[in-house]
Amino acid sequence: MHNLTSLLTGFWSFICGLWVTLVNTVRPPVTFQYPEKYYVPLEGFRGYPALVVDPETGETKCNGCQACARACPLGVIHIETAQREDKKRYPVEWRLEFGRCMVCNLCVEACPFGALTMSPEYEFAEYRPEDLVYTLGNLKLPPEGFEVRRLDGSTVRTGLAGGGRG
Amino acid sequence: MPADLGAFLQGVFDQVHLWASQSPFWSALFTLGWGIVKVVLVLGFIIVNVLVLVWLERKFSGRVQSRLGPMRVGRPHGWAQTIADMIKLLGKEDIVPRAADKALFVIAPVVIFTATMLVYVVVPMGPRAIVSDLNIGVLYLAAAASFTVISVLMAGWGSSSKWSLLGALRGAAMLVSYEVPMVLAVMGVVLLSGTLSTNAIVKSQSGLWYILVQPIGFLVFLAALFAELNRVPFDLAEAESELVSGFNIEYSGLRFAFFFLAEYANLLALSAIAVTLYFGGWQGPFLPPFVWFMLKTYGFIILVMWIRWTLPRVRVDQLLEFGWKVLLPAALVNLAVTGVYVLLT
Repeated sequence: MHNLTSLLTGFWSFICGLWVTLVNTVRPPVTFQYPEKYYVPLEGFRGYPALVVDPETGETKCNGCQACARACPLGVIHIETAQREDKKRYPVEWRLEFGRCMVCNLCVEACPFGALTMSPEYEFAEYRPEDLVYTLGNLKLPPEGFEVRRLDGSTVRTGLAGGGRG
Repeated sequence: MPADLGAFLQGVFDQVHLWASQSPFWSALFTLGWGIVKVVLVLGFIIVNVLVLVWLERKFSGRVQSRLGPMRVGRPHGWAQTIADMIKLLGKEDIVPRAADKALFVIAPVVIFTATMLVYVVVPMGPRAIVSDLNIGVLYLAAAASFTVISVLMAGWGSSSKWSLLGALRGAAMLVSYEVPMVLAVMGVVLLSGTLSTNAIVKSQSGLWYILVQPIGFLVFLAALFAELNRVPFDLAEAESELVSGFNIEYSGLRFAFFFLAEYANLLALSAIAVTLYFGGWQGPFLPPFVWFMLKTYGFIILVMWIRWTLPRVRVDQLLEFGWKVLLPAALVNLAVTGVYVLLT
């Protein structure tokens, strides 16, 4: 009797399994053809630490306090600052050795001015290791989003709060 | 028009046959030539269908796992992927391991493909489209289909690799546990139709398909079919995740292609046999018999793939237990009930 019931439950779970695969077979695939379609990451995605641009002044919010550089476990952030006429300090050089960066987000959490955020990019391949050292010029992240340069030369517009498939 | 063409070809065939039967030499040559034509036709049928089946399996498994499957080679939907893979396999280096038993190693792929080809002899694809309508068709089928295990053993032993040997021994251990219930299940159909000829079995199903009167027999046959085909959940002889690839692990290039070809040709052949025995074979309204045969066969193949991508692999002892404690009693009960029914009517 026990054998018979276990046989019947086994057969029933077999039917249930078939139902699960059938449901997954008829629904649309979750994957897509990557280089043709571009995945715009969701909010909170960690690309690389990027400097936020203040929409009012058009400058970075960074005043070179070195909090991020001290918080960095790998020491890949180097900041050199200068003083403006109104005694405010600003970064003349903000260098990130992205090749060694482990994208831990600690620098973003350490920043007291909200000047750092994680970029929504993920195509980082370069031909030379030197190109993985990011400087002030390519670290700025405008608030209205920016054009991501694709490897094939085309561009995709992305922002901080994107999401879903592009 | 196709009927006219068929009649015309039949007329030409009859004329040549009549002319050739005048002398023993030409008669023998005619038999040989006609045999070669049949072999070429079956071979072409197998290769074209295997190319489609491999693509279908990859697409289907992709969709089961919510993926896209092959998309790159050939538009739309990567239809040329299998052709590209085939060309790649033909270009690969042919490696024979130094410790291998060379004769067995070389012969095994040929044997497995031959065994698969043998099954096609009794597959009725239409009222007259059958290579040879043997009057012991089902018996021949049971013998020819289990022949592949000999090749699995040859390949596993000949490779002199512990993984392949384990796979081969598993294949041999499986054989005894699924072959007996399978034949017993098929015997139910034989009892009902009263014939061993596959074409006569199809003809006897003009009113009612045997799956409707033999559901238990069909389930036993289906379970044993998976073991026969070396497919998940009973792919113990291959077992990619534990025996890496089982009996065919040491093979490369063309020889591996032969194993691959035989695997899918076997799938097609046994699906065709299942359709013949339980789904009325080529019978069906409106469409030509061959179209019905292909539709049913591909429907059954989809069912087999569906089950394959649903279930995990069982252990060896689970398979033996299932074979002896579940399949065999079920097949025996089915056979007994069918026998009593046939006796009373």
